[in-house]
Formats: sequence, structure tokens, C-alpha cells
Amino acid sequence: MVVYYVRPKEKFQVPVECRYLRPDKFSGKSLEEIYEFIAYEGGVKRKLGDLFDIEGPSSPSLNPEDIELRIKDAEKIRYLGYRMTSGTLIVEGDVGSLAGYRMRGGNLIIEGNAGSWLGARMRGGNVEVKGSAGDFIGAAFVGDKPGYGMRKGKILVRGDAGSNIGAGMKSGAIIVLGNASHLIGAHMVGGSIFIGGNAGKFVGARAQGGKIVIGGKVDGLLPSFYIDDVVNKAKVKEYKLEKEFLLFRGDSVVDGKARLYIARDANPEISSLKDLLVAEV
Amino acid sequence: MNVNGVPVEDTYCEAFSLYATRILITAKDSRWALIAARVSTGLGTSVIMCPGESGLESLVSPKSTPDGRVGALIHIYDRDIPSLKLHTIMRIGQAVLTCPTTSVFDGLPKVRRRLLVGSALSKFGDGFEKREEVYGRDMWRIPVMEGEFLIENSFGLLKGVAGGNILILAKSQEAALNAAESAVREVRRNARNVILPFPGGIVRSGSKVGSLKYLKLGATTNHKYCPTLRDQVDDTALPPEVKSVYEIVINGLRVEYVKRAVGFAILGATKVPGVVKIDAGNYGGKLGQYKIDLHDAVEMARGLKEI
Repeated sequence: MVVYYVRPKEKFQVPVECRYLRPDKFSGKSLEEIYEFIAYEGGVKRKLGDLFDIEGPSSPSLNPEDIELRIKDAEKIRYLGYRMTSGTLIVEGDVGSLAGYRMRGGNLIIEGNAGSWLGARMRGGNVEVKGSAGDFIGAAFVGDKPGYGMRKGKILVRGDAGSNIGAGMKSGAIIVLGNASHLIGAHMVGGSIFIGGNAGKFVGARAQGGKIVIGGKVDGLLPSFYIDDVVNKAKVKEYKLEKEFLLFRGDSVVDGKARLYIARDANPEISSLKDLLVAEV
Repeated sequence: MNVNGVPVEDTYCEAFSLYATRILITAKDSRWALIAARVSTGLGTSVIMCPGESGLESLVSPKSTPDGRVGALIHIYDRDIPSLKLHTIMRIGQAVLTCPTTSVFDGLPKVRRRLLVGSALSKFGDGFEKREEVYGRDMWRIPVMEGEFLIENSFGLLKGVAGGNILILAKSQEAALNAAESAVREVRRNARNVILPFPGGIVRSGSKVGSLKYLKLGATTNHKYCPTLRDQVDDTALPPEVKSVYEIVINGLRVEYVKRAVGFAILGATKVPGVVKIDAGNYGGKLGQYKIDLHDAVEMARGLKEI
């Protein structure tokens, strides 16, 4: 394992766009070559060497999977891990928005909090956030067609998350162990979303397919979702909850077939919908 | 287990749940009730490609219909509620609304969950429609050229069971068809709350889930039971004397009704000489929530077991 230590020369005042600060770009390159990579500080074109101090081995590794990058003071850095294919990128602290944008493989570990658009349009790999994350996790951009969001991979947020989680996603898994805000899985086409805590309004609005599991309370349910079944467990990847869930289908507005699991014990106002399933012929 | 001297395999058939609604069509006489029922349940064999599965359950005596005319009960099944509503509106609106002398009533009046088909179709009345209580039901009067079309505001909706089936393995095609027809007669005569969605109740091209060659296809021919493929495939399920196989598919409002109908189908099929074996289509647990044991079904049909 080859480890590079990256830290800014001075505290950034404006957002910095670092598309090349990623392990697979570092493989086979000497430190002098790495210092020549382009970064944008605000709108100004700079070199990586002007902005960062990078400590690394004298002889470069040719295998990007062996490379580990450790970055400090990254709360102003955008596009970290952009199109990254392999290796490990560890952020010691918070990170700015668009981390893991179009990521294709490897591991991105954020030890603090993440900004918005974490793993937007992601195509593979693993993202883990030990703190909380912002809005639009694994989402498509606003104006994209449904299905242009996350397509593969896994995003794990151990804290809370914002709104529009997995909006427009097509496949893969997003796991939030804390609470989340409104519009979870809006216009999603496939994939799975797991929220361990409570959720906001409009869960699964215009969802066409996929699976959403809410382990806590939901702030109202869209009328276009209809009850389909009662199940005793729900899981996404290895995260499993063994309690009674109401399974809803929808969104009928777009003739969708998404499955929405809502914990029955935390939502007394909709738990009586279970009676609709008992039918006397 | 042997039924009428024919061995019945110790296996189960897999059924899955579909949303179902039941509709009572009444008309001037049984001829028009049957025409309306048959036309409105056309092209309703399988949800694989049809707009819902549908079929005629039975004719109803004038004594037990709300308006005292002869009626026909039809079922419509579909994968989800929006498409069931759409296809019910489509079938009633195009085939029953247009058919002379018909009226439409809910066939599941005790069910709490409702499908608002009548109120959607009432808009055909272009503002001249009236909602009032007729025959103790909540009905819409829609003015049409013939006179008036009466339709109930909402229909009951429940989770039905689809895909209960048996396979009849016989020594010749004639024997297999005779046995299948006998099975259908037995089901039609005795079983209630079920339909047989396929042509005449019989399927000649049973399917399996998925495909060996074309990965995107959801359903392909059941090669284990094709007599012409006996030498070409390794996993054939046919004994050497079998020349033809038919499948009977049963949909019902509840799993008990389907189970009993499966039993009646077995009793009917085994009456005919030339039947080698009764088997069932199961897909290794891929398709169904419901597993209907054939031996239990026969016992239920014989009245040995309570529903």
C-alpha cells in the first residue's frame, strides 16, 4: 500500500475544483508530474502544486488499487473523486459538494460530513460517510431524465441526510442510518434506498420502480401510493430491519411499480390501512 | 396417490397474487348477458401480454340479481391497481356499455376496498348522467341512444390468486383434449368464485419462467413437457408413453377456492381413459407466494376437507 498525504498550503477562501485529485490519476506518476495537474481555485486555473502540499513515495506505484490518498481540510474541495476508478481516497474531516461525482470504482471514505450531490450520477464503487451528508445523494441533476442518477455502487451515510436522496437513480444502493428530509427517491427508476430513521414529505414522488425502506416515521404519504401487503422484514444489502412493514406500490401518477416499505409501529396514522387487505367475498 | 386409477404426482402448483375485481352484468336474456360477458373478457388470457386476465365465472339466476334479470359474473385480474382500473374501464366502456340491454353491478359488495370505475365511466353521459339509488345500490344512470345504461359507482377490489394449474399427461392428443375438456366441465359445474382465463379453459402452450437462450424473455415454452423435445433436452419430465400435454389454469378470488377448483379439475381429468399422469407446473419457487398441494386439493374437492 502506497500512501499520499495531501493538505492545502493555506486555508481556501473560495471553492476549489479538484477533478484530478484521485488515486488512479496518481499511479505511475512522479510527484513532479502530479504537481502539474490542473485545479480551479474559484474560476482561476491553477496547478495542484500551487494549492497543495503532497507527501508521497519517491517511486510511484503502477497499480492504482495499491494507492491510498489521505486529504485534510477538504471542506471547500468540490468534485473530489471525480470519475475515480480504483484505489482508496480518505478525507480526514469534512468535504465539499459533488464528492464522488461520476465515480466508477474504488473506495471513498469521508470521516466527517459531506456536502450536497454526494455520489451524483455515480457508476460504481463504495462511498462511506461517517458523519452526515447534504441533499441530492446519488441523484441525477435537476432537469435530467429519470434514470440518469446513480447507476451502480453503494453509498453509506452513518448520520443524517438532506432531501432528494436518490432522485432519478437507476440502480445501486443508498443507505442512510439516520434521518432524512423530503422527496426521498423522487422520480427514481430502480435501485434501493434505506432510511433507518424518519423521513420527510413526498417519499417516492413520481417513482417508477425500485425500493425504498423507511424504518421510522414518515411525514405523510402521497395519495398515489396504494397498500399492497404487510411484511415482517425489509432489507437493503446487509442492513435489515425485522419488524412489521406496510408495503405500498406506486407512484400511480406515472404508472410506477416502486415498492415503498414503511414501518408500521412508527406510523400509527397509516397503520389502519392494513385492514383494507382483509376482504370478505 | 391414485385418483380414478390415474397417478397424481405428489407435488404442488405455484400460484401468485394479482389484484382482482368481480362484476355482474345483467341483460334482457341470457343470450345478451353472455355476449356482453364474452366480449368484455376477450383477449384476457395472461398478464404476460394481455390487458389483464379475465373470464366468465358463471351465469346468475334472475332471483339473485339486483334488477331481477339474468346476469353473468366476470372477473378481471391485473398486476397493479392502476392498470386494473384502466383495463376494467376499457373493457366495460367498450364492450358492456355498447352492448344492448345491459346493466353493470358490483360483484363484491361486501369488500371495503373500492375501484371507482362507474363514476369514471359516467362521464360518458356528458353532464346528463344522474347518480341515484336504484335497487338498493349506488348507481349512475347514463343516457344512451337505446335508453339508459345503469352502472354501479364502484366495484370491490381484492388481492386474488392467479395461476393455479394442473398438467394432464396423456397417451394421445385426443385423450389429452378429452380429459382437459372433462376437467373444465367439472370445474365449471362445481367450483365457485374461480375463472378459467384461457381459451375454453385449456392451455396447450404452457410456459416456464425465463428462457434458456433468450435472456430478455420473461416466459418461454415449457420444454420439460414438450413431447417433441423429449430426445433433445436432458431434463424432460415426460414418461415414454406420453404423446401430449394440456394445462388447465385457474384464477380465483381466494386461495381456498382455487385449491378446490384444482381438485375438481383433477377429478374431471382422471375420468377419461388414456390419461397417464396428473402433474403441476411449479417453477422452483420463483413465481408464487401460494403453493397448492395437489393431494390436498383432491381431498378438498371430494369434501373430505373443509375449506
